[in-house]
Amino acid sequence: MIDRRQLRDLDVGMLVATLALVAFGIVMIYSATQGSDDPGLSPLVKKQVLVTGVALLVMSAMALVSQDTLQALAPFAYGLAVLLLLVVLAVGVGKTGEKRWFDLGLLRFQPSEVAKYAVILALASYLSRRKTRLDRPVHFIVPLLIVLAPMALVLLEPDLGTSIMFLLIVPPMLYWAGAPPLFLFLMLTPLASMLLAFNWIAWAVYLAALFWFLYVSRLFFADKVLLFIGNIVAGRAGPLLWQQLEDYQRHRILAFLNPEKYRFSTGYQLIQSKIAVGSGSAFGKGFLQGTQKNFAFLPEQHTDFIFSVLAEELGFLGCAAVLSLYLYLVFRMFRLAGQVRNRFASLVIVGIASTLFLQSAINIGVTLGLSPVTGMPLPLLSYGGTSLLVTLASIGIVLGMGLRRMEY
Amino acid sequence: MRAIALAVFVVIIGRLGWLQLVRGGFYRNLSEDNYVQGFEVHAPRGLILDRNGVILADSRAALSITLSRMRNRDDESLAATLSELLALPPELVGERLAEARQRYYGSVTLVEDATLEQVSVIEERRSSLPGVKVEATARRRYLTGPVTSHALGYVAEVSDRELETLAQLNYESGDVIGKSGVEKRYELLLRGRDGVEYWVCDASGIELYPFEGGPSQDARPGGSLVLTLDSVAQRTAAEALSKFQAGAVVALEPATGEVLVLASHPAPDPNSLVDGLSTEEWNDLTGSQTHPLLNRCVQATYPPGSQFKLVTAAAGLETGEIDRHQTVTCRGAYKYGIRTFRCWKREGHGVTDMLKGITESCDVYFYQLGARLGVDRLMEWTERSGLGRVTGIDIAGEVRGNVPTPSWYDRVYGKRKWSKGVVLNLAIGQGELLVTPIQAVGLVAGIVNDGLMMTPHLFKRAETYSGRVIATARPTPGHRLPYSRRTIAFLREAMVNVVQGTNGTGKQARIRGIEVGGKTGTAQNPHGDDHSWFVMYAPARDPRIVVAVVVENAGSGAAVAAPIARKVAMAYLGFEEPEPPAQVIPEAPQGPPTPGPLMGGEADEL
Repeated sequence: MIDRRQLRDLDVGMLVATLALVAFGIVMIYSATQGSDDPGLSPLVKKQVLVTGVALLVMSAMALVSQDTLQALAPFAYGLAVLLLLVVLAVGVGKTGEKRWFDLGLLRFQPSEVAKYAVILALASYLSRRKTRLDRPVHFIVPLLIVLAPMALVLLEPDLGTSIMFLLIVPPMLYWAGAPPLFLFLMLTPLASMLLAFNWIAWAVYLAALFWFLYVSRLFFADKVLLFIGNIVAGRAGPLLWQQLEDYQRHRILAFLNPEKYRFSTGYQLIQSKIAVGSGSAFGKGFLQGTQKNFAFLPEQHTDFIFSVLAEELGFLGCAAVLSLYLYLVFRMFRLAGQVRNRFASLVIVGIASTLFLQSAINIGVTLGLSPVTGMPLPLLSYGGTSLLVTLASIGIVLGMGLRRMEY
Repeated sequence: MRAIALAVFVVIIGRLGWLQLVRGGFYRNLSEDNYVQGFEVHAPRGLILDRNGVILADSRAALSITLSRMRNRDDESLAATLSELLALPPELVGERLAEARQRYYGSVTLVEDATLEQVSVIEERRSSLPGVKVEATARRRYLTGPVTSHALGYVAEVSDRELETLAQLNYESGDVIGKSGVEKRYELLLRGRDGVEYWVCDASGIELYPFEGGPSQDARPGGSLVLTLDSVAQRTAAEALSKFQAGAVVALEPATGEVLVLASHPAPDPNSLVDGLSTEEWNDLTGSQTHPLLNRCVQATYPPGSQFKLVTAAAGLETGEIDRHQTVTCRGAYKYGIRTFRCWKREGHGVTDMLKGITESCDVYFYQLGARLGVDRLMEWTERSGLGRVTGIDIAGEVRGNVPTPSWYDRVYGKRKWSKGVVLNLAIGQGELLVTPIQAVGLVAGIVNDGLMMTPHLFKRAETYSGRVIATARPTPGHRLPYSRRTIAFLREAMVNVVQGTNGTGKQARIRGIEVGGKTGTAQNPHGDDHSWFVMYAPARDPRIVVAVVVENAGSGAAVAAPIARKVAMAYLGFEEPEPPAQVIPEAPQGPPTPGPLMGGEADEL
């Protein structure tokens, strides 16, 4: 348990930033679900407040769990997460045929949200072992496999956005574990290959360049072969995967690349979100005064597009404040990761911080027209029980590790 | 890592700054003073053509007055103005304005197919009527009107229930959808895809300029549907039927199953259904005694009458119960237990073999054959002959008819609470046995196509609006009649004899120059006059058309139905009606219907 001395190590800044963001979220959900002509609290707000209460309790509880316990539990958490992902594929429910949720009556539970954190624990556990080595690209195979298994299951649901999140967690954690940046860069080459493979000439040129690079580099022969084969496989798989995507997923990507061509459905969201954000100008139209929001031009305003409501009503100033809170929170976590003595804890913190940061950045990027629509919520701000619960729980873990920063 | 996070942060802040600080004024203008509005560009519905390229249904241009949502608009005073200008009830205008307020984009129709007067009234005051517009739309037009009513079906505004069940297909209230017939069956082909245009509009809803970067999309007109119908024969059939209270004509090409004629009378004018009927008119239509919305070709069932003797004969031959040369002596009646079953010909047919039994439609011959077969075997062979099941024609609502097997009688009357004597009535096609006209024509088409019934279909070809062929119907084998070659040859010989033979009951169907086959029938109708049936095919040697005609309450036999079938076949085969009519046939002894003081299900003539 925690003793009094450790409580002095509580990261108050982190805690305050978290609570401030959650409070911001509730206020914006209140605004987003407010009809322009009927005042009064929407049931969604009441539900969100209730969930927040529960989530704060869970956060505190998670802070009490020791890092050794977490590390011991990591393989089981990982196993359980994979199992849940398998089960949800069999019995899950979804709005339009995807199988993402368990319907638990009061609450819809989305296993992929939890699985992200199980993967972070498992990855941290593996990378903190003494015999794990990361000085050759071949050594990346095991960490990649740890991520790819649940990621593939999430992709099958299908949930493209979340599955990409799984992949994005890996580079920062490997980097923190000591992998040379050059190798991390090489690890990303298959992705480039996948994108370039849509054009034969570009792909051929790219492969030739890669071949030359590998030929002159001083890597082990096995690593060179592995990288080259990885690039070819990824390149061949790219177009195949594209065919496998659901229509709406392709639509989202194409609409992002070429909004003129794409119809009402997807293009409309992007246009209206941009108008909402832009029209907020420096100081916003004022709380509850967003015209885009009030006239229901904005789709999904209390969930995925909550940031657009914020931007419209509170303007650049409000956005900058919220963004700074996120950045502060993440920087606080990175700082803590450098301070804790336990290697496992340090890796977990980096994983959680990266998840929080990337997910926020992607969601906000969507509302600003910087990224294709992914269907991911904005952590801590968007309406939605599971997301809030797991995000606060993960912050609870980080806070707990902060309390034990002196322990090995 | 912090550097990367910081870089991402800077990109986002930079983008925010661009959108909000630099372009803020532009976007604020868009959101507050201007609207980006999406306008639907309606795609015209595809053409429907007959087998020879005659257009049966197209679209015509119409103007409608529409409402779209507007901020800062005094809806109440607008409703008052509009109801006065257009002479509409204020509640209706208010309702439509409320609907328009709910719409994301696009508009709500206030007046469909507006008159020129209404249009000019609106156009004159356009600047003082924010969000009120005159839009050009395409409206369905059925060039052949009631003649093809039941085959084509009709379109109308999509209903709330359809909106719900077809959520995946992007229908919106106000869209038009096929409600019946091939309009419904081939909706996806005919519909086309609406386009969308984005315009920046000022506060009164007038388009200023196209929205830059708006994801607009061109409308794509619906594809053309080429049907197997022959519009000439179809019109002949519809006009012939129109002289009677009710009836149906179906004609097939036996080798392919192509439906050449599908006419049901009475038929509503589909154009009036497109315009929308008042509640009163709708009630008149649905409440009518003659059920004009019923497609009798596939939805009405009748006892087949004597045409069923073909099946009874086939059952007799196939089971080996009888051979065609065995004779029965008809003295005008047949005693079964304590009951007497009459032949339609009081004086009797004398010595009758199977060929004569069919040609002259002798009831006594088939009473005896039925009694020998028994209900079980006769109904088993009825089912094996493809009756009691749908033919699979490509329009909705086809019914199965009824084949009263022993288990059916057990279920309806209770076990053993019915007499085996029912078989006598069934053997001559009366009683609880019920068939649809499409089944009747399908059976004969199967017989003349060497036992293979082709699945009837109206679809011949689908083309894009620019004329490229997308899909072509392939003949699909349906049910196979389990009749031997000899049986089939005999049935064809008998049917030819019915028309061409000296004592045949179907002489009115003769066509000069070619041999044809056919069979008469009378469906007993407990509620009124009997229904008249005739099935025929032509030419006899190499049949290109099989026709079934049923005319309700037209009395018995060939007198009414046979000439209609003949006219339809001639129209399809391209024979001119000769003057005077070919081969004036001395009127066959069509005695007055037997008054039926007898018990049980005695048959009328034929």
